[in-house]
Amino acid sequence: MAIKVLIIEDDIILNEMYAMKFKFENFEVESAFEWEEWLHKIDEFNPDIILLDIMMPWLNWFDTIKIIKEGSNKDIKVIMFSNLNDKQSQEKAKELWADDFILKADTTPKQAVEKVYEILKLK
Amino acid sequence: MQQENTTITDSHLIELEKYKRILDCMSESVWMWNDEEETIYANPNFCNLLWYKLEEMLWRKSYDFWDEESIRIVQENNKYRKKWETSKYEWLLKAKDWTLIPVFLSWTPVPGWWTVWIMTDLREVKSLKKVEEELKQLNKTKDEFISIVWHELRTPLTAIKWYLSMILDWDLWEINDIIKRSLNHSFDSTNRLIELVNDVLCISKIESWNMNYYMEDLEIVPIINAVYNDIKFEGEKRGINIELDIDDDISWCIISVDENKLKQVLLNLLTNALKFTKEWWKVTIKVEKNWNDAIFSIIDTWEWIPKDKMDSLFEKFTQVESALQRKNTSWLWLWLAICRDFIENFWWKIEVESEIWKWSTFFFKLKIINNL
Repeated sequence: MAIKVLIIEDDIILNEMYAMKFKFENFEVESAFEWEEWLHKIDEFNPDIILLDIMMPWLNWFDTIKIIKEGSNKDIKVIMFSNLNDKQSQEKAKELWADDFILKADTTPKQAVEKVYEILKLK
Repeated sequence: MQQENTTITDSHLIELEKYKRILDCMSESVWMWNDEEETIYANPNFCNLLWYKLEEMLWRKSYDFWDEESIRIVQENNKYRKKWETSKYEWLLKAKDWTLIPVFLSWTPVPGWWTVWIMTDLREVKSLKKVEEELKQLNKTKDEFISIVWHELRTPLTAIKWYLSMILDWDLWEINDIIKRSLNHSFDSTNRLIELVNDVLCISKIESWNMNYYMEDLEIVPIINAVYNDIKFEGEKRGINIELDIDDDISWCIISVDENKLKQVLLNLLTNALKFTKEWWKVTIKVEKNWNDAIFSIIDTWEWIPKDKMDSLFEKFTQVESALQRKNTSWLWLWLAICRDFIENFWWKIEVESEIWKWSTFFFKLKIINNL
């Protein structure tokens, strides 16, 4: 069965790029641009892993991860991705039970896929 | 006796004359009353402030020159004034044309006869303050604008970069060498743009005091090794050998530092050194222990920085041409400005030494915290 990845990124072009890459690697992909819409659909799509852009303006990612991690009966992994290159945000993300942190401008889509494999311990 | 207290005698005038020159030159306004609160002296500045001539003011009651609310306050304060206590107010004077003029005033009773008022025109101070506030606001708006623009630039640039990388990665179709080379150049240029965006954002963050420092107690050697591994490939690409020269004593040394910032400083200095070093020459990363300090040096070969340019080297947007290679290197200096700001935050100064035809060294010291 294909691994399900949910990409939450408000930049359409970037979102599509990650979606393209993950589909190419045989993942089952859903893209979200607006979070509210997706919050109640998480159970429906039941992703294995979520890529979450923490700079989305309308999203309080602090609460979001809590909702995902505490609300679901499945162990959904969360990778935060951002362009904030400071250790504090990264530490904070990890404190909030994010499983990893990707710096968008420094991580190739290929590396992002590898990271997903690594976190799901599939390779 | 009564006469002496309420009017100006000749001897008073002579006395007054002695100080007249000083009072005439003062940038503050000076006003003197007798005990009847009649004007007995006003310096030229005070006359100008209220648009009166001196003779129009003399012997007139002080109330003629206050606004009504101020008169009340002055009367309330009379009891203190009569006790010869000194005090300060911010209040309104009434000019000849009835314009109200805000002044900051302090007054001192002179034993026996007078009250001396010294005033500063608050309109000037206030307008200066207003201009300063406006400038501050404008600067803040500018910083925010720059920050937003550059943040917004980064997302599309990231998209371009990774789309290009995917095309290059995937080899979806047979792309010929020319296309591949062009795509590679596009990729490199996009990368450079992203770095520039990051640098500008970094500078604007430093300048708006929004830069966070995450200080930790860390061993020096792993940091140096990580930096070395990052830059090694860049050196190989340019045919330049990067050497490590670390004192044995350094291996157990711990410094208090923001790891990312220190790495960025070293990488910036190394990239700078690589740009100026000729192929087949070397760049050295040297760390030595000197009492309580660890001295970090990045030494290149061939670069020469003229003495008169050394001071401006760390300024933003300074354009310094390398004397030997005549390369236009304006954007490099942004990196050096970042280095300086970071290092200064760790309470040390970054310095340069240069010897013509031989080498240039950028070096800085950090305190070793576990020195025995």
